[in-house]
Amino acid sequence: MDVEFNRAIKNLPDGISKILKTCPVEVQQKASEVRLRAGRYIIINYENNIYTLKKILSIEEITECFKAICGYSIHSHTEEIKSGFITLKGGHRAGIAGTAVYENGKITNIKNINSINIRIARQIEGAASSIIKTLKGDVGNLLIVGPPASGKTTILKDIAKNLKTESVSIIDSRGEIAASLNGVLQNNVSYADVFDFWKKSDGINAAIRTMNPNFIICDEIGDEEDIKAIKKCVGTGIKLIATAHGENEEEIKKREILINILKTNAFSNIAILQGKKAPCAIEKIVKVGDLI
Amino acid sequence: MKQLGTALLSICPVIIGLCNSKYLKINIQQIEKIIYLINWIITEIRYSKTDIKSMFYNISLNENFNNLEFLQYLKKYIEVEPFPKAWQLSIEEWNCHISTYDKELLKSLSNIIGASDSKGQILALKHIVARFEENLKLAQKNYSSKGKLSRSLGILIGAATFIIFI
Repeated sequence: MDVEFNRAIKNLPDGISKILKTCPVEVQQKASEVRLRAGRYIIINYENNIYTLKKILSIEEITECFKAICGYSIHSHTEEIKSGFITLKGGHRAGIAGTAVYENGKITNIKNINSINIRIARQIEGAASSIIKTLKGDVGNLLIVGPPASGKTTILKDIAKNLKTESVSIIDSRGEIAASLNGVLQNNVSYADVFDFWKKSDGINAAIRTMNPNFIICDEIGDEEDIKAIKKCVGTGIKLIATAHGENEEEIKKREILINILKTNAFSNIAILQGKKAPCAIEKIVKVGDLI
Repeated sequence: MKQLGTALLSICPVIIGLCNSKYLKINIQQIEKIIYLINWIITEIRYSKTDIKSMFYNISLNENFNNLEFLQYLKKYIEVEPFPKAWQLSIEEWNCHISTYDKELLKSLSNIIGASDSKGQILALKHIVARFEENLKLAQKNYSSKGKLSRSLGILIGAATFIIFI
């Protein structure tokens, strides 16, 4: 029985987790996602394969799953629900889909939840070792670029764990890097100070002002506000390690926002990941100067 | 021997009357505590957004709620059951002095606490508080009339029994 898989499904109601436990151990060990959808079979994604459990979930069961993953405390998770996901015990993440409720142009809630996707977080020992080796240990000012599910956050977690300094600030805007649950960090991120669920721009500003970090780590930068905050790190001696969405070198060159990020001079190297088929594998590491 | 028997027989209605009156008093105290508890929960939800498990763990340690024994059962059940079921089981197990109606009202909190956003919960909980406050008024009225009556009647019957049998 796989520990991480079991820890992830433990957040679900007893009946559903019992059904999930019936899947083969091999699937459990390699599972990356558990997909629960109203009116559909339960699906487990593992190593680019699909395992289907012959159980069709009703909308009531999905609602019960939603309540259970919130620890029957929906009020404690309102901000996360607005973002479309809930961090679970063990650092796993449950994405939720349903009807959006807007108020004054801003999303205030998600109702009629009809689909839940539990992403099983696995802290892969040595996920960042090839990057660290290639860069001869100097991982500062590094931008990790890859498509969804290519292992960006996993690498970031491994870098955070391996940084041999006590002055690391993690801006964990989605609660994925350190996976704090009620203040308790679920992932091993060494001695890092964690700014949990802060907006990246606010978190970076606060870290610079209050924590005197040597390194700032943040996940998925990609808008103008992030660029403004990144610029504040330049020239302060703080080394930034971040991730961004991007398919390959050609696409990076075409995406204006990525080019603007690179033009801030906050990064010196870009690690491009291979993609979903080979999570955490590096395609290549390029110098920023070669791209802009 | 006869005197002793008469004394015991006379004491019985007095004890029954006093107990009845005491239960009515405890009923009031328990409703008051329930109202206090719900208001406490409202504050916790509004200001700290604490999750249900931690919230009830802290409440169960609070001496103010000592006479709401179901909170101790809840502490036990919440570890193994989903909150709504744990709440219902602990109320069912509670040997209380509140009316069946109040007990059902208290049970209905299982569908409110933690089941929606803060605003929704607070609104629903305030509605329950208002209903408990109405029931408290009735219980107080009941105590002031029936409580006194029970005591007086108990003493009267006790005295009458003593006089008749002595």
